[in-house]
Amino acid sequence: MLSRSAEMETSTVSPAVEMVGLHKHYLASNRFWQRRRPFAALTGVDLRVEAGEIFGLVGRNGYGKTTLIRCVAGLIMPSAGQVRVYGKDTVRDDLEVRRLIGWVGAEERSFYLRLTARQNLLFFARLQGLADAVALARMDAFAERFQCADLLERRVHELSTGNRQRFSIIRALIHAPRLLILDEPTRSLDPFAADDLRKILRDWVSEDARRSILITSHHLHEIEAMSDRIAIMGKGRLGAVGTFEELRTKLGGGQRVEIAFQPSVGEPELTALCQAEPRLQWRSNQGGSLLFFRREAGDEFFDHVLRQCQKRGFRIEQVTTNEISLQEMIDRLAESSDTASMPSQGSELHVAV
Amino acid sequence: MNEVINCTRAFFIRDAQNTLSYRFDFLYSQVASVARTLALWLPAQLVGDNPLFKSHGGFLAYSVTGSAMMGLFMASYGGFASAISSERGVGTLEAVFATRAPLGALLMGGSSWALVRSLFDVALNLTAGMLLFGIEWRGSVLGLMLVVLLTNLTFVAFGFLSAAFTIVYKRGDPFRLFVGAASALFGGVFFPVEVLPKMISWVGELLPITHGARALRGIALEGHSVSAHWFELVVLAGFSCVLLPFGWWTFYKAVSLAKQDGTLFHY
Repeated sequence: MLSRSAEMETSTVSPAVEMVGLHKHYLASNRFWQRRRPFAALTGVDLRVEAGEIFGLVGRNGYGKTTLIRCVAGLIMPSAGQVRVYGKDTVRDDLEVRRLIGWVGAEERSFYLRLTARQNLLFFARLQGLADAVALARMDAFAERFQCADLLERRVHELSTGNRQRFSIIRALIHAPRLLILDEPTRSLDPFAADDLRKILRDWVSEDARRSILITSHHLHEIEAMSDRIAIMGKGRLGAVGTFEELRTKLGGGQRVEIAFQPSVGEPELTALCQAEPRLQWRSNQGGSLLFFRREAGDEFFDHVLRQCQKRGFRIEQVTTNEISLQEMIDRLAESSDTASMPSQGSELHVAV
Repeated sequence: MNEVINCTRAFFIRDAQNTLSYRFDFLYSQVASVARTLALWLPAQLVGDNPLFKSHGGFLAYSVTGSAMMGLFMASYGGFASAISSERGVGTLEAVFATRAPLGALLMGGSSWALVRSLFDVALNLTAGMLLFGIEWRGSVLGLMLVVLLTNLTFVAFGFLSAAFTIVYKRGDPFRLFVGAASALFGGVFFPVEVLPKMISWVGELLPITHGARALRGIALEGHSVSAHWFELVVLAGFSCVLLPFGWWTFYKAVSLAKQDGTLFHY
């Protein structure tokens, strides 16, 4: 048992999450009589989330985001490697780790529908070891903060999905964890409620330097706006980690250039141009056509394209340039991991079990 | 230990609230339970004054005791697995496992309401037997409680094994066949083991319920002292000492295995 001062010392030097060589494979078979074979969900993930940080995890479906955060929460065991939360091993010290973590899973039915929101929250608070008086006081405070105090006495089956989501975040916060793990936290919230939640979460982290958030979301603007650092997952491994600006630099940076043409420019002409210039792609756009490509810093390709269009008599309607988005980074990383020799989701990988 | 008690309290309150949220469920289930006892009156008329049941106060006393006992022990047995299945079905198992509640607390707490409810059922059935059929319950209450506790512990141990199976394989329970059907057939629950053919009657001696039922009826219906049933008590204690640690170890391993497989929350 660590003394309080020793514990404080550990917590100040330990990162919120530290993963070393994390591998996770599942065993699966399609038919009853088939031998179960391992397939890789995570392969060799190293990651460090610092205390005080909001860390976003993005990637396509099935790339291992949920597996990764479940390993952090101790809900599944790594096949190899180690995960530590504030210095505590998630397998060896699982109860200690669960005390430090607040979990908001993607499961929508995570409450007892016949009980009221208050009864549900009190039940989970008791499991977290809170005295009833403390739990009730915190519950009321959070409900005020999340603007759902008037819903506390309602049965959960009477609540909308969005309101249930608010209560699952309150449930995760009620025992004062240090690390909040959120799997798609705003998926059922309206834009205003989502904005409020993001603000509350940012405030929650900034109130205590030891607190951190590990968040996955498909709302990429949310990750971009909230996270101090972002990890983009390839298939089963971390493709790139850094701040948004660092990722942009790492993944080639540049801008996305879109050239909109008048309707007179047809599909055959654009197809021919794209065949001649492999960096170009085109798509239909509201009655006209759109040519797009990525422009690197100091790149003269844009001038070249304009000359080509002029030469072919294409009538340009509009040219727009945008900074590369997180979605494009994910796409780019997915493309590169598709071509790399990585085990794909669901593909067999022979791992020593 | 405190954590286990607090968690058990939390589960108990939750299940009580959940049961009471269905207005008539609790009431009707008690009425049904008493009706089951009343239904034993009919076979009792067919059996008549069979000498096999004479020392036990007749067929009604014999079967009411057996039925109450079986209900209680099967609740102890099935409570753990059904608590896990129910959480998994409702979708709350992940949220429960994400709390700091220890594994033992989740298991004991999850089944506490079912156990208390079944104790209530037993009391109700025995009272109904006494009031409606004039069955006379004798013997020391403490002695009876000791026998019920020891027998129950062996069922709890089988319950751990059943819960372990549910964790790994989700559905299907091979132990129910052994514990439920074998106990009812060979354990002297509804008829004395003496009526079984000699070549299979020995099976009953391998079942904890045979010894529990013998001691329970001896004390409750024939007014024996607890010491008169020392052999049954030693056998039950032996079963518990072996089965409880084994059952718990198996359950713990099953949870680890399901966490490794990533199937803990699969339905």
